[in-house]
Amino acid sequence: MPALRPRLFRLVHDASTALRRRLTPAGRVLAGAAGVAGALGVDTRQSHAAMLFTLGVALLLAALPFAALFRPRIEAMRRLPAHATAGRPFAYTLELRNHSRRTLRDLSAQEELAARPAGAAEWRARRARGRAGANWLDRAMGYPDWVALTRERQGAQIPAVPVPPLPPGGLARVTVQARPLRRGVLRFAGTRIARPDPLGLVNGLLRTGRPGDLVVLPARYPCAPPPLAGGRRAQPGGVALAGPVGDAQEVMSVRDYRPGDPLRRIHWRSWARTGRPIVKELQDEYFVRQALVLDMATEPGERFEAMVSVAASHLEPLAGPDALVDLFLLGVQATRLTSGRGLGSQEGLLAALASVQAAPAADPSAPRGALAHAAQGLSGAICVLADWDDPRRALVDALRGQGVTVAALVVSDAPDARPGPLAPGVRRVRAGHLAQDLAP
Amino acid sequence: MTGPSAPPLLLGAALLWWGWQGGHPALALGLALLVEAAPRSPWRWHAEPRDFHRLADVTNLLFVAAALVLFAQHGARGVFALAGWLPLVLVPLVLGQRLSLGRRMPLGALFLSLRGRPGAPGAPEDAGVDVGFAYLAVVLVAALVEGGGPWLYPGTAALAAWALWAVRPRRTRALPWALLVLGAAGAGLAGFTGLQAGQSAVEARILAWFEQRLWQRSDPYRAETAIGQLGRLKLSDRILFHVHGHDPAGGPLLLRQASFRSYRHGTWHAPREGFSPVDRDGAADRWRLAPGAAPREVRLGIVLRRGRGLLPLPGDTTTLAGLPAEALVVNPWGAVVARKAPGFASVRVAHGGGASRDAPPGAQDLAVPEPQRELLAGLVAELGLAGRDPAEAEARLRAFFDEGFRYSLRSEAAFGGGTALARFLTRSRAGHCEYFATATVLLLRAAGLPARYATGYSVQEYLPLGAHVVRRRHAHSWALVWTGTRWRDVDLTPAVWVEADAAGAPWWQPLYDAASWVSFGFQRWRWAEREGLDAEDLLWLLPPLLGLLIWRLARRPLVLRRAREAAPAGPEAEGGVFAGAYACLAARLGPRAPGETLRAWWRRVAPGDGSDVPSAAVRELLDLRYRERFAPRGLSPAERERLARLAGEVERRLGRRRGRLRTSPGCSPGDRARRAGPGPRPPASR
Repeated sequence: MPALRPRLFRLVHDASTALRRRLTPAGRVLAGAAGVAGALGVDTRQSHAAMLFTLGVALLLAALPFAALFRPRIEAMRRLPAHATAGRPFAYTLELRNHSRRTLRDLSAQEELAARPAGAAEWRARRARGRAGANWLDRAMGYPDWVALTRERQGAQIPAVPVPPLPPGGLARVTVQARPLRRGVLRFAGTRIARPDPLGLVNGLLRTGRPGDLVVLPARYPCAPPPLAGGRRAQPGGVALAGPVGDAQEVMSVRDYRPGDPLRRIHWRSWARTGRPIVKELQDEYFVRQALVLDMATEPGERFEAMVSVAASHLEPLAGPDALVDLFLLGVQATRLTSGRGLGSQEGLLAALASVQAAPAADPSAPRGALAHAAQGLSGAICVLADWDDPRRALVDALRGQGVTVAALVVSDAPDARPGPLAPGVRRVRAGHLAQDLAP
Repeated sequence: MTGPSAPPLLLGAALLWWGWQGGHPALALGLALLVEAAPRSPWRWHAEPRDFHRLADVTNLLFVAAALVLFAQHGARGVFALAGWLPLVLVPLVLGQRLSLGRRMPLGALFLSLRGRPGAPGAPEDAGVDVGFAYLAVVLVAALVEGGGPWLYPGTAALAAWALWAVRPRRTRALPWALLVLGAAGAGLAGFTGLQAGQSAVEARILAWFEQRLWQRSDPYRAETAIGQLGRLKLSDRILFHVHGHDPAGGPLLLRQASFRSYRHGTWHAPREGFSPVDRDGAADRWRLAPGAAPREVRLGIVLRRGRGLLPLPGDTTTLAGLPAEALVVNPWGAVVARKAPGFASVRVAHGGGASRDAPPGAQDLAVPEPQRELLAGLVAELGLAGRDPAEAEARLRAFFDEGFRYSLRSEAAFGGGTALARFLTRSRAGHCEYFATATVLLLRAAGLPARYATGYSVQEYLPLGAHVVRRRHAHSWALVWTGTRWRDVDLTPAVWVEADAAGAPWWQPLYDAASWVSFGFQRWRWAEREGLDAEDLLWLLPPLLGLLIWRLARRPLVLRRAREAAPAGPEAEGGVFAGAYACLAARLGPRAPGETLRAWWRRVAPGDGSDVPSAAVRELLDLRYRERFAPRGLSPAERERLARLAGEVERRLGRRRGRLRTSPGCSPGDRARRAGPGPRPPASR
C-alpha cells in the first residue's frame, strides 16, 4: 500500500495540475458548481439542481472547441541572470515573438520547470524526517509531503504572467518573477502559453520555448570575519598558476623534469643545451591560505542545507585580496577546490556548494588523513560540522596540531539547542536561526 | 491564485432570486442588502488570516448544526433542505471577505490542509481567493433546489450569463458572446429535459421490479414471511416509536398493524376489502375505533412519514386522542391508516377493555393449506386440541411449544422433503416468530378454532430515559383466535426472543438511542408548534451569525475609510511626519502610480548623481517608513526621532526650491505646522 501511494499521489497531482492549467478560475468555479448540482440533482423529481449541471456542462462544451483550436506560432526566449540565490526572489525577461498572421490578445505565459516527480523512496525518507500537514489525515496519508517534495524538486515558484497584445511579427518582453525554493540547478523545460476561450472558461494551451538551466546558489547570511591567523605559510612545490604577487621567484637550482611539473618551470635554455627537459627549482612560495571545510557525513535535510548556507556565508569573509581559499568537501572522500590569486572565482566555489549532496554513508573520520596532509600549507580553517563528536573533535585537533588556526561551527537542528561556544574556537549555531546566530 | 471578483450587484440579485424561488423574500432582501452594502461600507475589518480561519470554523459549525437540524426534520431529504439554506449559512464568509481590507479570503480558511506551516519551504504563498463566484454558485443551486416554475431555468441562465459577462476575455465581442451563451443555455435546457425523460424511463422499470419483489410490511393485504429463507435474519436497531405509560407488569404489549387470513407458500394475505372511515369522538383529534370503555391508556410517540401510515395499535383499542389527521380509516382486518396527519404524532390510546375492531370470523379463518393439512391434523390429534375451547387449546399449544421448541433467527438448509413449516414442526423445532405464529394459527384452525395471523410490534424494551422504545427488530407476529365474542392475541413465541434479537446490538447502541431520543423530542416540539416548514424556522441561525460578525468587527481595529474624492489613499492622505517629505518628493519627482509601492516608486524616480535630492537620506527614510508601517513592533523612540529628522531634512532640502516647482498639497510650511499636531496613528496604506 505505501508503495502504491506515491503513484496515486502522482495521478491526483497530474490530474489536478492539468485541470488547473486547462480551466480558468471561472471555469473551475463553474465545473465545481455543475458537479455539486449534478450530485444534488441526480433525482430530477426531487429538485431542479440538475439544471445548473446541464447548463454548466453545455457552457464548458461550448468553450472546448475554441480552446482546442488555439494553435498560434509563438517563439519564446528567456534572458536569465548569471545565477540566483535560494529563497531570494529574482526577475528575468521572457521575450515572446508572434509568428502568426493575427494579433494575439489575452495571452498569459507560464514557465515550466522539468523535474522528476518524487519517488517512493524519497517520499519515505522525507516522512521519516518529519511529517507535513495541518491535520491528522494529511499527516497519515502523506500527500502534503509528496507535494512539498515535488515542489522542491522543481526548485522554484514561477507564477503565470500576462502578456500584452502581440501583433503579427511583434515582440513582447515580459518580466517574470521567480522565487527559488532550493539551491542547485533550475531546469527550465519550456514555456506554456495560455489563452481563454471567448467565454473565459477553458484555456487553449500551447507549449513553446527552449530548455535552459540556471544555477541557484545557497542562501547566504551576513557573518563576522572569522578570527583566523593571517600569516603566510610555505607552499611546498608552489601553487600552479597562482599569481606570485610580492615574492621574488629566485631560481635555486635546476633538475630533470618529473611528470607533474608545471610547464612554466621548464628551463628552456638548459633543455636546448642538454636535449632533455630540465625544470627550475625556485625559492619556496609563501601564501595566506585559508580553508573552508564542509562536513558532508550527515543526513540530507534542513541541517545539511543550513551547513551549506553557513559554509557559503563564510566564503566572502575568508577571501582576502591576496589569499587562497580552499574548499574541502568531506564526504566519502575529501575533495579540494581552490580559489583566489587568479585560481578560479568565489562564484565557482559557490556553484560547487550549490550542487553538493550529503553523504550519510560516509565515515566522518575517514578523510582526516587527506585533510591533515593538506594542512601543511594552511594558515587557518573554518570547519562547518554536523556534530561535535569524537571523530570531528579529532579532525579539529589534527588541524590545530599542524599549526592551523581553526574556527569550527557546529550546526544543530535540535529544537532545544542553544547557540554558543562548545569548546575554545568551536561554536554551535541553530539550523533554523542562521541569520540570528551568524550575525556579526 | 486570486480568482476573479464578482461584479457589483450580482450577488444581491442572485439572493433576491433565491428569496423569490424559496418563498422567503424578506430574508433574501435583508441578506442582499448586507452583501451589497458590505463593500461600500466605510468600515473595514482589519482581519488577519487566523481571523478568517476562525470565521470559517464558526461557519462550519453552523453548517453542521443546520445539517443536524434539517436531517432530523427531513430525513434523507435534509440534503435538499440544507442546500436550500446554504446561502444563509455561508453568508458570514462572504460578509467577512467583503468587509475585510484585502477583500480576499485566505485559502487556509477554506481548506484545512493549507493552514499552518507559514513559510514552509515549497509552500505556495496564500494570496487568497474571492469567494464571490463560489457563493453565487451556492445561491443558484439553492434557488434551483427550492424553486420551480417556468422562469427557473431562464433566471438561472441569466444570472450565470451575468457572471460570465464579467469574466469574459477583453477580446470577446458582445454579439458572438451572446450567441454562444444563448446556444449553450438552449443546449443545457435540452439536456435537462432529456435527463428528466431518461429518469422517468429508468424509474418506471425499477419501480415495476420493486413492486413485484420488495413490497412487504406496509401492505395491509399481504405479509411475506421469512419462512423457508436461509441464513440469519438481520434486523435493524433503529427506533421506530416510543410508548409512554405502559405497565410492564401486565406483560408485553402487542401493537398490531394488520391481520391476515390466508396462507400460501410463505405469504399471508388478507382479502382486498376497502377501508372505511373512523368516526371522530367529539373532537377533531379524537377517534373512536370500537365501542365501550377502556381501563388502560398508553401514549405512542410516532413519526408518520409524509403524514400517513399504518398505526400500530393494541387489538382492543377503543379510542385514539391527540391525532390531528384529516382522516382515519380502518379495514375489516383491523389495519388502521392515518391520512394527512402531522409528521409526528403523540397519540393517546385507550385499550384493555376487550373491545375488537375486526370483522367476525368467516370460512377463510378456518382454512388450512393443503400441503400442511395432513401434518397438522396429526398434531391436533396428538395434542388433543379438537373440541377444546380457545383457552384450553392455547394452554396445550403453549405447553407443546415450550417443551421442545427454541427460538432462533437462523434457518439452516434442510435435506429431505416437506415444507419449511413442516420441517419446523417435526425436525428443526427452531425458528423465529413467524414460524411460531403461523404454526399456531394453522394448528388452531385445524382444531376448528377460527384464527388469523397478526403482524405488528411487541413493546418490551424500557429505556431509562423514560419510556418504552420499539425498534425495527421488535417487529413481531402472533396469532389471533376467536373467543366467540372477540379476537384475542395468542403469542406462543418463546419469551427469549427479545434477548436473542438484542444479542447483536453494537457497543454504540446507547449513544444512538440518546441521539434518537433527542430527535424524537425535537420532532415533538417541531410538530407541536406548526404544520409546515416556514422561512422563519431557520431564522434562528441569523442572530448568532450577526452576533459573530459584530463580535469580530468589535474585536479588530476598524478603519474609517475616507471618501474617495476627499483624498487619495497613500502616505499623502495619512498625515504624519513622512507625509510632508513624500509630498515634496512627489512634487519634485512625480507621484506614485496606482498600486505602486514606495520602494518601487523610488527605484523608478530616483535621480542620478548630481541631483539636489538627498538620495541617501531618502533611502534611509523609506527603510524607517517601511519598518514603521510593517514591522510587528514598529519603531523605537530613537528611530521615530530619526524618521522625523530625516523627513524634516528632505522637506528642508526640497522645500527651498519649492518656488520653482509645481505646487503640491502638503509641501508647505503651513502644512508642516498642521502635521506637527497630535493625531491618531494613520490607517493602512501601501
